This record gives sequence, structure tokens and C-alpha cells, in this order.
Amino acid sequence: MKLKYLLIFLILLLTLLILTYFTKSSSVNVKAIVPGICGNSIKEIGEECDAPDLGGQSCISLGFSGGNLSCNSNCTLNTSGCTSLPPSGGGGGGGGPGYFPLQYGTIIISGKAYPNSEVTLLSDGQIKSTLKAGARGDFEFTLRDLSPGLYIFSLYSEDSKGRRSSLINFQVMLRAGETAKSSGIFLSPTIDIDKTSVRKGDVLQIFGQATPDAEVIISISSDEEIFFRLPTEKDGSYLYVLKTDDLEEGDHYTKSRQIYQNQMISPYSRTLSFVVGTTTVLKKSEKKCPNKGDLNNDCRVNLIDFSIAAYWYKRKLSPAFAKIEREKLNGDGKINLIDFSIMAYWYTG
Amino acid sequence: MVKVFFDNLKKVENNKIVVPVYVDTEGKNINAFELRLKLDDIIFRDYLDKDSIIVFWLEKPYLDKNVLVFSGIIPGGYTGKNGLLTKLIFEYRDGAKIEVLPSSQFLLADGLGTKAKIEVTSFNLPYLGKLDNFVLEDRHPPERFKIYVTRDKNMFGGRYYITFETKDKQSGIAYYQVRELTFLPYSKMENFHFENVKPPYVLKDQTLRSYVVVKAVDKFGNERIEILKPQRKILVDEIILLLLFGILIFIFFNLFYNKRKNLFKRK
Repeated sequence: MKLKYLLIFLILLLTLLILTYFTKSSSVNVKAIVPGICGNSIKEIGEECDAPDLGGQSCISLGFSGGNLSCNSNCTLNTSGCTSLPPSGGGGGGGGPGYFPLQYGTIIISGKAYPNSEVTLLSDGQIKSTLKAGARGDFEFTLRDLSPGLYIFSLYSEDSKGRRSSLINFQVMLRAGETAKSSGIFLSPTIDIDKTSVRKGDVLQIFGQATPDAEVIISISSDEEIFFRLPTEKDGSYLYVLKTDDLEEGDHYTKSRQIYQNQMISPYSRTLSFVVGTTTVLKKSEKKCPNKGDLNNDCRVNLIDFSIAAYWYKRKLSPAFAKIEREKLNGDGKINLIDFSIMAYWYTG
Repeated sequence: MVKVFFDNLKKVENNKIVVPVYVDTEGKNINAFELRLKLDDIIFRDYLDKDSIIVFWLEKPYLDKNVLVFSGIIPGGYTGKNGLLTKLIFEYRDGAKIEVLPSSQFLLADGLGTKAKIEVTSFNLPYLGKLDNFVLEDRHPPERFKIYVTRDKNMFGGRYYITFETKDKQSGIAYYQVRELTFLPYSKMENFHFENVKPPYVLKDQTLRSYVVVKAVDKFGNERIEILKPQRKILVDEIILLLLFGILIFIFFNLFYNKRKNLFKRK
């Protein structure tokens, strides 16, 4: 008997589960069909073409052997420029016009990052691939089956302390059926300092991660720019102890770059600021998340953050979002191009 | 000084011209811009973003009276002499002029959004006699892309929405379409009704139990479809409700069974 009721109970539970899974409100899609406007260069409904938009057609797709397909001013196709091959001799006739299959290409990207670090490759702003660099910092990405065209790549890496390098951008033009190589990509070092404010006469430590066997150039700027050069340690790390006796009191900035075997020079790292004054303030250890631009607190700056900022672009900010803008952007109380520039600087994909 | 210039103009129809817009950053690294072009005796028709250095459009080209405005973002920045921003398609007459307005902005990739100095120029369109052999062919679909689903309490009343972006390497993206489905169909997607949308798109199914199909269509009609799988099957509060209901039924049946058992015993 008990078994019978237990069975009924289980059947009811199962029925409810199934009903819940399948129950959803239906939606109605309403599509408005708008007749095309001839002359706006976009092939629309009711048009065969709208120069230079040929709707994907060519002489070959229309059954000709070649030539130039064009568009009349009334948005109809003009095949007068198409050519036809004469029929092959001997009767029987040849086959139809050939269809050329789509051709793709390959891009190979190589360079140097930090030993055993994770290197992230973005293509047109989206993460394409990540891999681990070798023990000497070497990496190589191979991207296959790519459409021909211009690719904008970005690369960054993270050192063993979780510090991210700045983004390095480069472009590759890929032709159909070809393999394009982009080598010698050299990431900038990561950089950090131990104090945000240093009493004049005390020392400031500037350190970070670079490539083994590279030489690091540290720049200190205030009124004038001063440079220091030092080799990296065996693991690629570097540390410079800056004496502040000769620095003026006030705001200063530091950044670094690296040179490898006098052949490869990296871009500069992020710029850090510090103050030379009367007190010493130790720098708090930074969280690994981007300092700015991470509007949804997911430790990334990507399309989601852009979509949030785009929502508020040229709009009055709500009090809740104004607080986020103060913390994560430039705090001027509005979203404009400057905020997008800040987000683009901290972009992670 | 950042310079904007126009080069490699192509005449495609009797009164239509393709005008590529380039930027020379003069050694500076720029990562965001807004360009404002005053149009004189020239009509804007369309644009092509093939080979553009822009990664994300902030505002695609649009007319504000006789000023053409467009803006974009380049994460990581661009440094170079010939950065193609876009190719603009105009209808024009001889003597037409395009002027780069001083209100245009190019911002440095320095983390502060510092404005770079910009050289303000005016460009008189030259007389172009014969038609150029400008053939734009595109048989490749748009690039693969990711669909992000998220929600923000400050946007859309806290409802879930999706955002996405892709590029087309040949002719450029014409539009996006979306369809939400309970099941993925066995038949072709072409038979289904899609809705023209612009990202971000607020989901109709806020329980996130539907497949969300996003179609990117380029200007030659080539399509790329990406599918976001349901993010949840059953909601947590529904599980709790089910469990409570189940417990109630169990208690009810137990009481009922015991009552009947006692009745039989008495007999």
C-alpha cells in the first residue's frame, strides 16, 4: 500500500517537473516589410541590386563564364558586361560554368611574452585563443580557415603575480588561400611600484616581469624624462631601486619597455604614477582585476561593459550608475568618448 | 597632430563615388575617435567597413543636418600613417567639398582619454572622369561571434539582455536578426521567422530557458548564425516550490492512508 502511494507521489512530482520545463509564454514576432529605396547602395526587397551591392551575384553565378556584372540605375542587374565561352567543339557540349569554392587562409602569429605565462589573443576585439608561452617566453598561434580581409589582433599576457601586460595591437591582411605570418611580436613588461608616495631621499622599488635575457629600460618622467637600463633576472623578472634624492617634489610617472638582443623592442608598459614628497605611503597590493572600465565587476573589460556604457551614452545617468561611473571611469558624471577610451585601454576581451 | 585625409577615391556610378577616410596618427597611439564631417553639395548614401581599423563602432555613420558623424573604438589603439576608418559612398557633383570639423576628436590610448590635437582640413572632391573598376564581391559570411547574456539592475528594468558584435571582412554587416526557440529545429533555420534587432536585445524569455539564435547578415546577404543555449532548465525557486508541493502531497497521502488503515482495524 505504502509503495502505491509513494509511486503516485513520484508520478505527480515528475508530471510537475515536465510541465514546468515545457511551460513558457509564447511570443509573437511581428515583421514589417518595407519596400527598398533604389539608390541607397543596399539591395533590398523588390530590387535585384543597388550599386555597388549586387546581392551576392556575379556573372558566373548567373550562368556566364566571366566578365563584370553591374547594376542599372533602376536597380536591375546589367549582364551586358558578362561573357560566355563558345561551346566546346565535337558536339555534346561542355559542362556548365565553373563554381569557384570559397578560399580561406591561415595566419601564424609568433613572438615573446613571459616564461610559462598565459598569452591571450584577440581578433577584432573578441578572444580568439589562449595558450601558455614556453620557458623562454616564446609563443606561436596558428589560426586556420579564416576569411580573407584585414584582421586587427590584440595580445596580452599575465605574469606569475597576476599582473597583466598592456595590450599590443597589430594588423594582418590575409589574402584568399594564403598563409600570412606575423612574427616578432614582443610584449611590453609588466610594471609595479612599492609606494604611491615616497619621502624625498627614500627609495622607490620599480619591478615587474619581462622576457629572460632581455634588457629593461625604465623611464621616469616629471619635467624631464630620465632612463635607466638593467638586465632581467634568469626568470625574466626585474627590480630597480630608484633613489629619489635627485627628483623634484611632486608628481612623477614611470613606465618600462624591453629590448631583446638589440633586435626586438617592445612598446611601453602601463604608466604608473607616484608622488615625491614628505611622507611615504606603501602601495596596497592591487587586485588582479582591471583598475578601470569593469562596469559589471566580472574582472573583465569586454563587450558587456561596452554595452552598459553605450546604454548610458548621451543619457542622464541614474544615481546608481553615476556611482559606478565615479569608481570605474573618469568620474565626470557622464558617459562620453573619454570613458570609452578608458575602457579601450583596460580592455581584456 | 592627428591628420584625417581622403585618398584612393573611386567613381562607381555616373554620380556615385566611394571616398576612403584615413587617419595618420603621427606616431601617437589613438584608441577612440569621433569624426564630424561637414558635407557641401554632396549626399551621403552608405558606408563600407571592409579593411577598417575600427574594432567596435560606437556610432555608425549618420547625418546630423549636413554633418556626417561617426565614432569608434580600437582596444589597444592604432599607431600608423594610413589607418582606414571607413569608406563613404556619396552622390556628388563637381565642386563638392568635405570639411573635417574641429569638434572631431581623437583620443590617446593613455588610460585617461587625453585628446590628441587634430589637423582641421577641407577636401575638394576632384573631377573623376571615367568609371573605376570597383567590384565589390562578397561570398564569405560574417565572422564567428560570441553572444553574451547578462543583466544590469540599472538597465532595462533589470531584465536579461544579450549583446553581440561581429565583423564582415568584405562588405560589412548589414543587420542582425534574433529568434528565441524552445527547441532547436531539425529543419533549416531559413524557414523560421527572425526579428530585425540591434544589440543589446532584451530577451523575451526571461527564464533563460530558450535557445537564442542570432543571425548576422552582411551587405551581400551572406549569413552567420550563432546559437546561445538555454542558460537554465529549471529555476531554483521552482525546485523549492516543487519540493514543498511534493512534501505536502506525501503528508496528505500518509494521513489518508493511516486514516483508512485505522478504519479497517476498527472493523
